[in-house]
Amino acid sequence: MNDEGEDIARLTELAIDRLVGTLSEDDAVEYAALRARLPGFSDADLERAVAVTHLASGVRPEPLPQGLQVHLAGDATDYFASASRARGSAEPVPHSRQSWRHLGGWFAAAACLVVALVIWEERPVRVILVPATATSPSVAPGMVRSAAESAAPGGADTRVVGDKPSVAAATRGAPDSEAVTPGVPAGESVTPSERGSDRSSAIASERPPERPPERPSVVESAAAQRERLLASNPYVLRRPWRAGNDAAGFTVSGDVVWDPRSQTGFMRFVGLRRNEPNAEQYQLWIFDARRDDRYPVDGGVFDISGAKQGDVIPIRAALRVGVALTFAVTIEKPGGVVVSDRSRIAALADTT
Amino acid sequence: MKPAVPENHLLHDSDEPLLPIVASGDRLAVNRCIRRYGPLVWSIARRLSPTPADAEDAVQEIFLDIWRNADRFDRTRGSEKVFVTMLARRTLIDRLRSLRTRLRAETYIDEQSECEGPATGRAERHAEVEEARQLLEQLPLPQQRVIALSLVQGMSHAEISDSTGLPLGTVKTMLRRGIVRVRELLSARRQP
Repeated sequence: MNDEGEDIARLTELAIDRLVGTLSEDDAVEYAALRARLPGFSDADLERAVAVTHLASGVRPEPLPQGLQVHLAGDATDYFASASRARGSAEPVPHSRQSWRHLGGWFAAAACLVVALVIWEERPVRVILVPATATSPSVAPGMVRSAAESAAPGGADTRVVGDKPSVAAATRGAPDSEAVTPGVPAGESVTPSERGSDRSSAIASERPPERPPERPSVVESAAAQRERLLASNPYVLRRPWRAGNDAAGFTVSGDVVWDPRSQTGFMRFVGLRRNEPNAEQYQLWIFDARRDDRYPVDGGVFDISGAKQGDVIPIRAALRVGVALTFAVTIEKPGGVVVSDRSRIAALADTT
Repeated sequence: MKPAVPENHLLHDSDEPLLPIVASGDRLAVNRCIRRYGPLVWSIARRLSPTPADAEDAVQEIFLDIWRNADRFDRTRGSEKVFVTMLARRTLIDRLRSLRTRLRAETYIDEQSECEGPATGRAERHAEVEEARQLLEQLPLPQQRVIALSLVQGMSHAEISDSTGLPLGTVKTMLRRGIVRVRELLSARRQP
């Protein structure tokens, strides 16, 4: 076997390890190097083979938990509404609008069920309604719960909803949410520690005593751009953050989204400690498989506001990134540095 | 308790692909998709997630990925079920990879379902999966077990080695060769 043949064979082995989740850190480096050396290699067929093998090895479908079904339906509604706005149309093109309308009663029943469950639940529930803006889509549905829970003070169950005023949507449960609690102004935060018999009317009639804006408009705009990027581009890379060695990031979650073709991307952080810009700032570094890892690409300096819904920060790569391996956020002096000593790493996201 | 996702008796599920319709945002198709693939995705996620709560989060992320990628499904390349399984595995492996860097994940394993025999039923009638199953059945039993422990139960090579008593290198080789053989099978199916 020639060198290239050996490389392909080895890359195939590593690709399988990667697809089954057993690629070690050392092997990940080798994998990235081989991928860079063999740009024509595709693991698409292997990925399909793994999926088929998985199904053929015995998977017994199990009933979805009821609550999860409700969440999935709510997520779908939020997603397609957001995608529709991103496309600039008023509404998705329904294939069977009549059928959907016909099912409204079912969703009303599901919404009532969700409301009943929320009322029955023992823990206090804090509902935050995100302000509706002309350019902002709903809160990224897949991330809503983790974001909310990370921000929940005192163990309370905090639920963040999109721009639809709805108790049902607060649990991401009711697709047809507007019918449940009409008349609630968007942007209100409701803390119904009191759970009366009519939760809907309580939310509709009571304004919180005070509530500072959760997110400045610039963050909304970045969030909207991020959603558009995700919705419109199948090549976008999306990886979760993990904690680094600095306490500022010990509770970090969220993700980094990166489009290698357009060289654009966004970081979404929840649980990353708010910084004091005059004392220190966060700085992104992108480790590129095609560059010496001593010199990662500077991805820009930024601040974290600590907004409960999370901060969305655009990536501003100083140089073109070939194959992004790792996104690392360090804490640096105000204005950032040219070369980081990497002593304070707040968050990391690996792509392999 | 009423189902959260409504059943419509006028529309019965078949094996017809839903994703091309889902891609247009058709809500009924979306709900049918949740009904059709939710149990499969949940079953996979439950075994490849450290906790049930993490599995629930993963399922939500997976379905968002399904909505986002629905228009990329190409029925000539394989069944919709395989496509959904690919997306599910991709998300789950990413999540596990991230988690394992912080702590050693204790894979949530339902002992009772360990190494179940192949499932039966309408959902399993896809030709490519059936052919792969026949191929796997021809493999030595230890290799079949290694593959099931890795893919279905989400165990690491080391965990499989501990569980089966097979050397680590043998575990890796058995798994890789099994998957490569299935890839060859799928490639041959696509030949005219």
